[in-house]
Amino acid sequence: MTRRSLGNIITLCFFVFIATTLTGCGTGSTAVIKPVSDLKNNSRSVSVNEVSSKVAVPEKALEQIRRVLINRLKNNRAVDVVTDGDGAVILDVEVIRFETGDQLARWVSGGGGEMGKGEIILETTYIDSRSRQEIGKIKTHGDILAGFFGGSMDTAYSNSIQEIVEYTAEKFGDR
Amino acid sequence: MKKIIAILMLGLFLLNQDAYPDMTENEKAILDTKVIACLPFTGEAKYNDFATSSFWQKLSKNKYINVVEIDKVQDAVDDLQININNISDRDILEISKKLKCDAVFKCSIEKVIVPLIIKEINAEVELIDPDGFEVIFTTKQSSGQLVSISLESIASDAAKNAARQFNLKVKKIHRKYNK
Repeated sequence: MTRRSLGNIITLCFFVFIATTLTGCGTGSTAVIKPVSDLKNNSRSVSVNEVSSKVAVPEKALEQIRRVLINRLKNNRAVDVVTDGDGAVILDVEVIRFETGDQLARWVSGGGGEMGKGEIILETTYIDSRSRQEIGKIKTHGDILAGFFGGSMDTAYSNSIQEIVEYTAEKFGDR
Repeated sequence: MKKIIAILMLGLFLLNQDAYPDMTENEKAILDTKVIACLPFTGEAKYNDFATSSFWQKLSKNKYINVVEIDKVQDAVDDLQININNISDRDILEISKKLKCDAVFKCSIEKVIVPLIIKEINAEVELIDPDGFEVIFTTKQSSGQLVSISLESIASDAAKNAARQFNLKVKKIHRKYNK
């Protein structure tokens, strides 16, 4: 191996390391619990209820999840988001798993294995605002495995929320 | 007159012949399957839902077969008080009657312990014909990743791989015999 190619490999490793440590590294997944049935409503607007929790979660985190979800739905533009009152579909979000993990362990492991993993699972129930019937349910998982000094739970929220936004846009979006 | 009788006899003989002599019993059973139910995955409580959902979604894309909706299967399992960790032939029969399906998928995942930082999950599925409880299709697929991918995603991928194998098998059989 020439000195130049060795240098290239070291440079590549350095950039991979920097990319892993500076950016939040985690994933999101969706499990459909109840497929969305037909909505008896022409309007494609959605609203988001206050986020509740089955497990111990700081109040600030619940507010943050709702705020980020509303913003992401607005930015997605596939559905109209109603913030003062009910939309045609109401999203009822509940936190069913919340583990902050260990930021130091994540930093030390650099995303290897599951060391220090932080994760969240949100259960989202879709409710037809007219009939008040449950018309669908999903579970979305988000986690953080690495990032800048171990990354923050914001990445886990973000991954889980993005899954909700994509599923909502796919099922209720009209553009 | 003799000619007519001979032609009629030849026709009867041909009608009694098996149209596809090389078709196996399992292929015939799969070809006859129109409605399928997928029982929830078992094995790894944390990841079962993600595997079940992905398997069902991938299977639902199969144009030759109707797949019972995931929540209807769960309702049936609850109503019949079936222990999905210990499925008996009777359970398979009851669930197939309740959901009016021709075959039932029994599914499980297993986390593979591998050294260092590799994560791997195996998904094993068996399609059971309630008439005779024969396994008419089975596959074991795995998915693994290095670092930074959650086991939920890996479980989903393994389940999708299993569904993909089944879809390919069904497509192959239909193309071979339903030209």
